[in-house]
Amino acid sequence: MIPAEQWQKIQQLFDELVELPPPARRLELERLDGSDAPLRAELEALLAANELAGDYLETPPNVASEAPLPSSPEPYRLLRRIGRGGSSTVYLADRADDTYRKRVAIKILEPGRADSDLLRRFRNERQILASLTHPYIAELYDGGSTPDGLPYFVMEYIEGLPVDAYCVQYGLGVTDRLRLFGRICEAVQHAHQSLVIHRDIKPSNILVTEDGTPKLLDFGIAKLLNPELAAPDLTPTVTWQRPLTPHYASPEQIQGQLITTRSDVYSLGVLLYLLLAGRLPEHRRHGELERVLTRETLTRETPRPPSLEVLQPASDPPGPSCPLELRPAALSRRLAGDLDTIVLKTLRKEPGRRYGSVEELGADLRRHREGRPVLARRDSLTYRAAKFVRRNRLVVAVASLSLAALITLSVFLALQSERWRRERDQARAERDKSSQMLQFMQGVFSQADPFTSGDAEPTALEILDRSVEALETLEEQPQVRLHLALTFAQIFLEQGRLQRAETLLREAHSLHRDQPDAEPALATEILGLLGIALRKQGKFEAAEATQQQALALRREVFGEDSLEVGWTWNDLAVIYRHQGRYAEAEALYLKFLELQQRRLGARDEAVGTTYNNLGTLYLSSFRYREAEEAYRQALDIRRRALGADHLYAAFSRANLALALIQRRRLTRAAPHLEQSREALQNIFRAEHPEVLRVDLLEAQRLRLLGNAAEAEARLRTLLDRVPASPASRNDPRSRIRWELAFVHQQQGELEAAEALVRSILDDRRRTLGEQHPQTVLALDRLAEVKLHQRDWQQALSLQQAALEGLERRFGASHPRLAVSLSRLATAHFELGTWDQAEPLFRRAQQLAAGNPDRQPDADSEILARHGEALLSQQRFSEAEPLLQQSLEALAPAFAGDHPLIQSRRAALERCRRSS
Amino acid sequence: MPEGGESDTTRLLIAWSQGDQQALDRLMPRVYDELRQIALGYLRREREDHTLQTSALIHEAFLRLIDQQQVSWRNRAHFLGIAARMMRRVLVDHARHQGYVKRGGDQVRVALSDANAPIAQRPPYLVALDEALQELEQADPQQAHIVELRYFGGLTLEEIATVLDVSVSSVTRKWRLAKAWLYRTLEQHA
Repeated sequence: MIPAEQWQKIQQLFDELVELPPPARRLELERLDGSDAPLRAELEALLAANELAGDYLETPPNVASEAPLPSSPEPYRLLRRIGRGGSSTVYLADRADDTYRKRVAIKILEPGRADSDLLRRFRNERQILASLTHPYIAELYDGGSTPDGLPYFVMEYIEGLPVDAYCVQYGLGVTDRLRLFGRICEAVQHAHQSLVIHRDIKPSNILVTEDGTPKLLDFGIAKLLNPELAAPDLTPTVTWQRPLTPHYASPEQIQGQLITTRSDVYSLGVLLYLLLAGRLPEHRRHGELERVLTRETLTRETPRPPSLEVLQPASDPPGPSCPLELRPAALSRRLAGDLDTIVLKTLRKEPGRRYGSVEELGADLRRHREGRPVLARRDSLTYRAAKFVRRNRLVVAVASLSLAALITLSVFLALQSERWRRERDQARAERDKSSQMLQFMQGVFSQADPFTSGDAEPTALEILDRSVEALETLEEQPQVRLHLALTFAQIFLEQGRLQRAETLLREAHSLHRDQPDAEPALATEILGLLGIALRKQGKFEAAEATQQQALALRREVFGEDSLEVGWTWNDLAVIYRHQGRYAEAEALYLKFLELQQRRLGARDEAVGTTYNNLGTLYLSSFRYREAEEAYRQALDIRRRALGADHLYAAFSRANLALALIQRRRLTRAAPHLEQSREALQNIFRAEHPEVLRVDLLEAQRLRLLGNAAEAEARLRTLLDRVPASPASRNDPRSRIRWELAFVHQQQGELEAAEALVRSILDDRRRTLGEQHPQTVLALDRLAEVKLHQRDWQQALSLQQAALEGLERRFGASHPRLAVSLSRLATAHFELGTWDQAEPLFRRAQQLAAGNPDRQPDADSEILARHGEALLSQQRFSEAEPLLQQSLEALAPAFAGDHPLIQSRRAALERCRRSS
Repeated sequence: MPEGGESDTTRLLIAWSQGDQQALDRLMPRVYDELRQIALGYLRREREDHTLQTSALIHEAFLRLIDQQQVSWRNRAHFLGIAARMMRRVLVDHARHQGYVKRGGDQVRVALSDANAPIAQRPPYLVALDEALQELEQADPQQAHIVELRYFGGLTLEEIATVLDVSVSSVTRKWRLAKAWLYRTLEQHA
């Protein structure tokens, strides 16, 4: 029931919004979202329905169409008419005998229609359906003649929406639409393999059920090819005989020419266009056959690429809305490139220039989804290289690169770099440089050719090293040398060969300095990369100085308010975070965020990156609630801008899970972990650090849930999976062992826990230094283990040292100090210095209580330590409320049978019994 | 022909057009009966190739009930107004009688292939439409009436404006939203 005043408001807003062009409409809707989200959703749905409604209810009902149902064929019972087409009617039915309750659709030839041609076609459809068995094709069950002698057949009854309406109804984004379309391709492909051409592919013939399964229907004009005649692709068929809406028909179909499976490829192309651009291609939009025909034959124009179509004003006849998660500009960027090319290739007028089969089309879409080069663009080598680089910019394992891939990577990374392209002013000079680079690489290659050098095939790394050595030979071409040096440096950086990257970058820097006409922008690039190389080596001060230099230069070159300057803030903030200078880092991120939102809009992908970085900063400084919020923003933006299973979205999702685990929202973290794991394993090998990180989080989650044994088993498998690597700051084994130490501690294996913590502490002391927060945290862990071992003296001195470090880093009133203070208090108490212990207990509780981020197990531990100390002193009445609270603090996060809850409950009972 | 002659019905129509509400009360059953007679004549027929739209039925009823000489175009518009309402009742009653599945039961619509009828042109289930219109009546009675006139009566937007004595642009706006809302309610399944 809609309240009248609410309806008036809807009417008023609807009238305003419907007149606006889509971008402005979306803006208005977003504005509404803040004040009244349900109203916004209602309006959005109504606007979408308005687009789809078309001529709905414009034609008065047809009285005869409500005619009585024909006699039911045994054992079915017709329930109602659900569709009419051509010369037959489809009814919903069930089985009158109770053998099974399944609902079915029954198609019955209409009376008086049984002339030989229609009958033949009706039987043809039945025969075709019988030959097709596929999860995405409506299934044929049965057939025969009704008591009135009308032929019928029984099909799967499908509850669903036409694919275009489904996409709108369920708000599918580009990625999901492509996945759905891929399934439709599978169905059509299956038909083709069974020598059937559908010939009438369009949204109303593809229903999608609620769970997202498409079902291809209506083979009423499909053609069964005779396999004896010829290869299916070449077999001519008769021209179509029944009037069909021409929007989806291939040109050869419209012209009554030879029809092959490529005709279905064309129709699929029109459908894909509709799903991506939200509208039919322009030349397909206007009604009548004649006009399409004329346009098809007389003009040679190809349709406007979807990426440009979505930027057109929406004054044209409406189709289903395009993917809504993106603003038109972002959607256009998403469609430009691969998707444009794929769609246009399916829509070629000449069948021979389309995809050879639906399988090829589906495979190309899959390649696009996986970030691999699509075949439609295979002619362009630079395209493939660019694709390769994009796909691999996060894949660290260069050792697995193939030879050819490395070569393309090396050369074309240089050629394709967005920034350089933007800055280059002379296309000719650039071409010269490119061909010189190619020549250079060919030189390296011929050296590496096993037939020339006689060696076994060299590894990618050897080629790279040889290329770097050969740079010396380029003395005459400093420009080329500079660009290649920069390129190789980037590869070294990605490989983690930081020292070599640094050397090459310094070399590039001096090369740049020696060239009078060098682009200043390039210098900022070199300095920025150098800063990163230094930071990754832990040379924080040098890194900061270098980034400051880059910052000054970028201010000059790009302007004070430029995004380039903002990115340098970002790079600086990363350094600060590593140094534990959290406040400075936060200020820079917030400044950058403001700049990005102003310049790019709130939903830009880059804003997602900054939120993500900000989240990591909060996480480092134990501000878990804010971290969760920032990661949520990042995930939301990335999901909308890039798609839900994009790598970056998966990163943010894993981060969100991490924040949730830190907040002990253990159940809520689970689906995020699962989803990010799924997305990541599609991209990376199992031993990739990112996959590992998610598995590690799951182990941590299991341990916190109280399942130490399972956590340990998982961690041991992880250790097996990770190759031993030289101790480095980000050694994944160190993170696994850190978690394993907790598991041991939880299982009471304190010696094992201590050994692990000590070795981690030693590593960190060596690589990070005594003062580094990570080292301090390891010290803090060791104190905790010693406390569990009841080695009070050691625990006391370690805890004091750790607290000093924590205070230095986070300030004396940081909530993270609370639990450590309570442990120090316990050590004091056990050593008999109660007068020192008690104020520490109180301070710990104050700090914890003032923390907006409640930490259930830490809070509980603090209360329990104090309570147990009082209990040992027989101060039952003071101990009991503390122990009670320590039990209650756990309740929101942990299940009743959790070991922690059990031990707290035991303490409380002990207290009550004794008093 | 039901009780009362042609001229009697005509008189009632004119009286009602001049503001006599009691005239309407007596007019309506006549129109209903007449429409039902005509409609059932068609509904009972076995399937034939030609079918008749309700707008034609209403016109037929108008010709049979009303003396064309006596009424103005305004009277005609008023007649079409109540005829559309009666048409709705005739069809919905018939559909209910036939036991067509009600809204809320098995309401998921199957779009089976009909080359000539994309989803937006397929007729809705009348019973479901009737119930949705009752809901719309609560929010904006005039809006529901517009749908009635447009769909069941086949009136143009201009004719509807005349019947309701409001501006064409207001009718256009209300019709647009009503159509979207009904489409969403009846054809899309949240």
